[in-house]
Amino acid sequence: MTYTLTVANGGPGAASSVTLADTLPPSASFSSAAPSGTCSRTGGTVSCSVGALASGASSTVTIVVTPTAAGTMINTASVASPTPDGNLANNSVSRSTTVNPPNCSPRPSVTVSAVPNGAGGLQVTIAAGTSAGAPGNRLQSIQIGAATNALVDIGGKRG
Amino acid sequence: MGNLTVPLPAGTQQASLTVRRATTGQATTLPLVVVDDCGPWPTFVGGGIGAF
Repeated sequence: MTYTLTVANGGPGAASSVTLADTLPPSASFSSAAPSGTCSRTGGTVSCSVGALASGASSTVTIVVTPTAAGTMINTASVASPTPDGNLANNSVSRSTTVNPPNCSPRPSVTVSAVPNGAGGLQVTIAAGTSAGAPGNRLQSIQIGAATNALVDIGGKRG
Repeated sequence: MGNLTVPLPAGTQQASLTVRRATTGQATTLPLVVVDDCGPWPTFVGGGIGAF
């Protein structure tokens, strides 16, 4: 999902060195922010340098995230500038989004492919199944059972 | 190896792993339970003596 943030200067004067800070919902995985050259991310906060804004001017920042869990996501953005501001009340905003749980009936199939890797092993790829009712279905974990004559390397864990 | 659960980062769509034989010349079977937002998905991978 995409957050589109419009930073507008309502005047009466120009605002210099405007910055935007966006606190992402904990249940959102950051994907990208644009303009890419002016935004950076530290942890759950995306910071963007908007620059100078003349009176009446505006600038748009887009932030793309992927929800990681069903529930309510609250995104909060705020702007700041060293230019004196006569109205600080409209410098931040929060938006709430409801993420519905996946509809798992019928259950989307997990895809598992295993192909020889050319080095005497199998390269196994596992993908979450998606469906119209569960477009955002994601993997949570992989449980490895009692193996017969197998050594496994997964995510840095070996056994 | 047995009964190891590997949690995946939030938002993971695809994961991969590598399976090797512990002893050459013997069949290999690895039971897996893939857990996604819709619940557990039991499966297995492996092969016979000459499969890989």
